[in-house]
Order: sequence, then structure tokens, then C-alpha cells
Amino acid sequence: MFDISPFSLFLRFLFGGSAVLASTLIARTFGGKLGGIFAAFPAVYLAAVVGLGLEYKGSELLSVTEQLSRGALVGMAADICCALAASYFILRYGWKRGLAYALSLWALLAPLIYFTWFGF
Amino acid sequence: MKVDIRDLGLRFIFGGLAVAACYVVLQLVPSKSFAGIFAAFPAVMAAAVIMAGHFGNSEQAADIAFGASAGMLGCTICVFTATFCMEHLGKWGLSLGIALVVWFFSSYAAIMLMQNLLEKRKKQRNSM
Repeated sequence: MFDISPFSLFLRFLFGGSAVLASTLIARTFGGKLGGIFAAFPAVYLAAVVGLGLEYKGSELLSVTEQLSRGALVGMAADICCALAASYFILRYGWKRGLAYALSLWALLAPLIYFTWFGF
Repeated sequence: MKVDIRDLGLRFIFGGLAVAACYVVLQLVPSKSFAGIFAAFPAVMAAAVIMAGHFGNSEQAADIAFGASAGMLGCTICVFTATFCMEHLGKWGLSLGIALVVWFFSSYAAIMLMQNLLEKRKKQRNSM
């Protein structure tokens, strides 16, 4: 159960970081509306899904990806609330406290939606 | 294109940590779907807000967070499409491909809508 290999962990860190970095560089290169779209590329989600592809194959890969996607869907719903809350909190309390409050809200809201939706 | 090493470094660390956390939760918690929450960590938005707040002001940071909700709407539709296609088509690569095409068009629509709302908000702020 606690089979966490440091190499796999490092590989995923590199993979996630590179995916976000690549989407940022594409966004900056294109600029304008097209750049704006790429600035919101689901890089972390795709990196996580491709990471599953390293570990699972065939129908098992399909099933695990489907399960991960369900959780990601909950996380994305919390993301929208977090972004709107950040916009409100930042104007009210400044960017440091505003961002901290918004991320705390995300950390609270994501598990809450998850357990309400899927149960314990 | 202006390249800011601190900005890129921050995004790299946040993105990497989110995927690494997702992997750890996937290994520790029997529920694979709970780990998926971390695959949606708002890493890009957090880094963009920190940079805008640090080098600009809180109003710019607030506008970035507000605009990011458009991208997140597109990402939600993308993940929903991926889940739906995997369930019904049963093909991993094809489902991800369709989800990415849907992401592009839904993000474009959401960004157009959000830009109009941002313009209105700025006008409202200036008239106050």
C-alpha cells in the first residue's frame, strides 16, 4: 500500500512542472486570446493522466483514469469557486491574504463537494 | 517574448508539487478518485496571482484570478468530456484527444464571455 518510489515521485514532479511550464511558454508566444486559452491549459490534469499511463495498461488504465477524472471534476468545480473568491478576497484584503483565503477555501471545498457527491 | 525566471520557476514548482501530491494520495488512499482532486489544484492561477501581486498591485492580481475562472470553466468541461468518453467509448487516447478539442472551444467561449465581464468591472471601478 505504501509503495512510493522516490524516482517515480521525482519523475511526476518533473513531468507536472514541465507541463505547466510548456503551457505558460506557449501562452506567452501566442499572446492575445489564444495565449489566454493556453494560460488555462489543464496541464496538471493531463500530466497526472499521462503519469497513470506509465503505471497502468489496457482496461485497468481506462478504469483508473476514469476514477481520477471524477475527482478532478470535483477539484475543477472547487477551482471556479476558488478563482471567483480570490478575485473578491484580493480586492478586500490584499493579494497575500486574499490568495491564502481563496486557497484555504479550495482545500475545504474540494473534499466537501467530493464527500457530498460520492459519499464516504 | 519576455522570460521571467522567477515566474517560470514558481509555476514549475507548483505544477510539479500538484502532480507529485496526486501520485502520493493515489498510492496512500485506496480511493483513486479522491486523488484526482489534486490533479485540479489551481497551480497556474496561484503562480499568476503571486507574480501579479508581487510585481504589480492587488487590483491586477484580482483581475487575473477573475479571468482564470474562465479557463477553469473550460478545464471542467474538458475533464467532464474525458470522463464521459472513457465511460462510453472505452478508448484512452481517443477520449483524451476529444477532451482537448472540447477544452479549446469551450475555453475560447468562456474567455470571450469573461473579457466582457472584466471590461464592465473595470469601467465600474473607474467610475467610482
